[in-house]
Amino acid sequence: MRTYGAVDFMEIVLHPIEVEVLKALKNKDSVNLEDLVSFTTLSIDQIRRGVEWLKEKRLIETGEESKVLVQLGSAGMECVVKGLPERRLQNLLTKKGVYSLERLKKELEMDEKEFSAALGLAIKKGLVRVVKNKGSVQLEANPSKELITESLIKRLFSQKQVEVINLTPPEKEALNELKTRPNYLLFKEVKRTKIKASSKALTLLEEYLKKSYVDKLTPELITTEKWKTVVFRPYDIESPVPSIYPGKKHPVQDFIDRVREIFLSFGFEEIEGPIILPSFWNFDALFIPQDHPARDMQDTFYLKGLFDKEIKNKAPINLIQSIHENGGNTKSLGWNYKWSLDEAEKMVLRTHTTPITVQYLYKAKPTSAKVFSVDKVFRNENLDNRHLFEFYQYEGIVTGRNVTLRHLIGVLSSFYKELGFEKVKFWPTFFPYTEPSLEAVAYVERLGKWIELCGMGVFRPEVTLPAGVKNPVLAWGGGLERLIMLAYNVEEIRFLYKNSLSWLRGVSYARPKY
Amino acid sequence: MPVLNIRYDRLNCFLKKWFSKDQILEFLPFIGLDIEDFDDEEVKVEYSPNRPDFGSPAGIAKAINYLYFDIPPQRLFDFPISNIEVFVDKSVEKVRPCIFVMYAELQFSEYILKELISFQEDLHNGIGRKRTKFAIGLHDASKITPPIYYTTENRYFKFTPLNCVEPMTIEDVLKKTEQGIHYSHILCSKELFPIIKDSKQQVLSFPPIINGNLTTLTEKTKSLFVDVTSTEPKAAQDALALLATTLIDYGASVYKVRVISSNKSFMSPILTPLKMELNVENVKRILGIKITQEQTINLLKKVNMHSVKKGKKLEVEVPRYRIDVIHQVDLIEEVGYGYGYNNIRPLSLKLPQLGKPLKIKRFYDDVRLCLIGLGFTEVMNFYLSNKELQQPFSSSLVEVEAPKTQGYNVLRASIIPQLLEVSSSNIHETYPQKFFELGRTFELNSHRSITEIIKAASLISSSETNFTEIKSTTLSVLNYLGIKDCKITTMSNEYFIDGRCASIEVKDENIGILGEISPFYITKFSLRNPVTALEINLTKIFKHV
Repeated sequence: MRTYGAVDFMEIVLHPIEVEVLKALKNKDSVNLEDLVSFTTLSIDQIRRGVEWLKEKRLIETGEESKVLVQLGSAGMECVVKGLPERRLQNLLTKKGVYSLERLKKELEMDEKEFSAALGLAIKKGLVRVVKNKGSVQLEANPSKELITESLIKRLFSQKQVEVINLTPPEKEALNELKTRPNYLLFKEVKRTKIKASSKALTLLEEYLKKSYVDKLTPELITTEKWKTVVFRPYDIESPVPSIYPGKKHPVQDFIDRVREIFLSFGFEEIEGPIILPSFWNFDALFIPQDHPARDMQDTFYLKGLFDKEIKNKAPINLIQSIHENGGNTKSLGWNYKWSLDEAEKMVLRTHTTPITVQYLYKAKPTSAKVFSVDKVFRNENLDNRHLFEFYQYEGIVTGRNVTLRHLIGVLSSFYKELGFEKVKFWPTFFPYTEPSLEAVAYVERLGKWIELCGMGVFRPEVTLPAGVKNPVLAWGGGLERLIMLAYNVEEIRFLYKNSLSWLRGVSYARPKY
Repeated sequence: MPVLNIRYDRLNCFLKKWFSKDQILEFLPFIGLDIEDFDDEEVKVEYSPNRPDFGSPAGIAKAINYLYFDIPPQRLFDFPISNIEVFVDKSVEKVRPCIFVMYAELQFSEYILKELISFQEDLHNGIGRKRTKFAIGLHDASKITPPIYYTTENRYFKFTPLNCVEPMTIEDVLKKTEQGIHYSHILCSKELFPIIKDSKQQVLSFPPIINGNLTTLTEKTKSLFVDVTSTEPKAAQDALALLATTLIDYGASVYKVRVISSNKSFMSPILTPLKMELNVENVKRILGIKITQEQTINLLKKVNMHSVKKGKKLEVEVPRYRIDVIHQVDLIEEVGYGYGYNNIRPLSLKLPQLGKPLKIKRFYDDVRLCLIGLGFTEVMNFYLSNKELQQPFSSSLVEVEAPKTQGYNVLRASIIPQLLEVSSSNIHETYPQKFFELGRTFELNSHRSITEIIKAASLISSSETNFTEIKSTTLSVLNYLGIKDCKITTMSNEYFIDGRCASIEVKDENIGILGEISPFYITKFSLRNPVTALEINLTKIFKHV
């Protein structure tokens, strides 16, 4: 809320709408807000807005006025056609002459209560008189003119509704009488805002009108050089404006790019590979035994009816078979089971980014290299607040004649420092294709706990030797989303891919603090 | 990954020194256990499936004890021989040939009973691959009258299975008990069934399905008979070794049992360690630390491994229960673990090389930059999509088997249906809505091989949008990418209004689609505004630029 209390009123700038409102208020005692419509060319919405602004600037005083309106109710409307009950009684008597009470009641179709009320009123107002004839009571009509109650009903009918305060004193009396009859009248109270301009406002208005401001700078003003002689209306630069949204990158993509930038700045080469590939590359080449639970259809997406029948011509399957079964030429004992080519041919959606790296090793057979990739992987999961069936992993390797676990710890410490994690440590863990296997964890102040960053280790000889790589290969890989959740303070993982426009439009890419 | 709930007081029963809850929670990650959850009484840990010896509080305490206290390695070689004998009938050869057994004395308690049963189940599900590789039977030995016979019976043979009161036929056990229904697929024969019974013809077990009720373990059990049966010996021997070691860790006295068949006789369990060579030079080469042979010997003690110098190398005795050690590198890891990874000082890498991004990614960034400049906001959807939504874009979709999440059954051929979904879920946000996505799509070729294609798609939803706007956008993007001579020709697609849908062609090759989305699809996605969309094949365009 802006306040004008402390601001010198000479700095107050009038908006054209405010000017129009003040013009209408000028020389008037106080005006109803609704009535301003007829005094100006503004719409009711513009007037409301202008009045609101003026009120904020303390340039007008407003007060509330309430008025009571009256209109006919359902029984009242009926009387417009039929007449008041007492008048109907008199009319009947005038037509029929003298009549007994019982017959009157019957022909008027009134019940006992209605009839006695009508009778009482007719006598009281002198419309009829009581005649005693041979011991029995009879009625006779008196000639009479229109009652005030009747003229009031007519007025209410023709004017639809009338302000009570505008009624004449006898009409008010009639109103009181009709009020006692059920459903004859309807009352409603209406509150209205009365507005009065302050003297400050009128001074400002005077000044404004003297100056003859120009509102909009037009091409015409520029080309004709008229701009030199006019005064531009100063705007209220503090007033709110509509929101507009820039096109921008998705926060996940932005984070992917941040990770890529760090690896590139460390001198790494970026690599990529297919998402769909035979199990051979996703599992077998990584020394993951064929009966490993991760290869179950419960965990891995297999593709309906798709096999890579060419894999036996493209990859050293005999070598891999012997390594799985008995270690082959790697001095390993192997997994001690019967390896099957059929299993290796099954096409899968890659479950990790490591096959990208392994295919690179088979192809490039590097003696020294630093490569990385950031890409999508798939797991057959139920989508919920903690699980996605597809997500991003970042992955990298370093190989060279003299690289050791110390270098791996070094690279990852620097990487996470660049990402903003200061407190990082390393715990032992297990992966089928690295040995030693470690897990990098970081302390997150906001959560008060250690969170897992990535898995890492040195590729086993059972993985690197068949690829033709002799030097140690340091490798790591981790899920990206958990870091993104921390960076953007998102609690439910699937929210990242909900594409909520309000989030995408509103999210800021400030450097994250964990 | 197997999980285990461990009570702190149970762990303290086996630890050399009493540790507080906080100390325990601090140690666990250093022996390679992930803490899933904890409260004041117990901690839930996830342990690696290749370390089944972590499946009991005794096993975990053992690892902590060796790591933090100076304890000489266990070196389990030999045990006394029990007088129980097991006779194997020839008929099991074609049904379930392998059996390994042992006898042990241990005073059970409520906790021990629970922990051992859980340990057994983890073995079954882990290295036993849901009992397909072996089945374990634990029996109260006091109920058995030796000798024991491992033989076969037909389907009408009756016995009282675990937790039952009446005898049942094998046929009924397979059809009516939970275990029978669950595990009958493992059986090799439908005629002959393996049965273990004693000299009084009382049934101990019908492996791998269910035990007999007779030998059920209780809190009062004092002696234990264990059988492990399988079709192939290796995994069963591993399981028995793990059980024997764990029982010893619980303080049991383990006895060997003789198994006699028509052509051979042997004793089990065998806990002879595996002897493996370790070259300290390789330790240095992998871990990067300076270390002597003596230091290595001492570090190996921290993982219960005895080693001796043998020339320039070490000869390491790998305890029988460490089934994960299959290569010298596994021993190097043990040394690193004993050394403590957090004592390994990081070293900066000296491999000079220029950072080299993929060229194609630079190209994608150009496309992104252009669309963002045109006011589009990037969205990201899954590559898995719905068959029904994708079909109008391709007749050869790539389908996945048995997806757990309903409705995501194919890999997308087009991004457009997903952009409509995005608009549909943002119906209450302000308009105009303009967004785009850049990502992979998939197509199955005639030879049943798969092409992964990168596409960029964008969508505009507003009361004003029309064909002109989306065509202008398309041409603007193509121009930005340096494609000057493209043709916009008419085509039809279910998602678009007929006559307002166009194919984008470069050198007579279709590289994209654009147009006004048909009101049928607008309403199908519960939208109320006109929608226009475009999609271009970046993989193809990349060839032209």
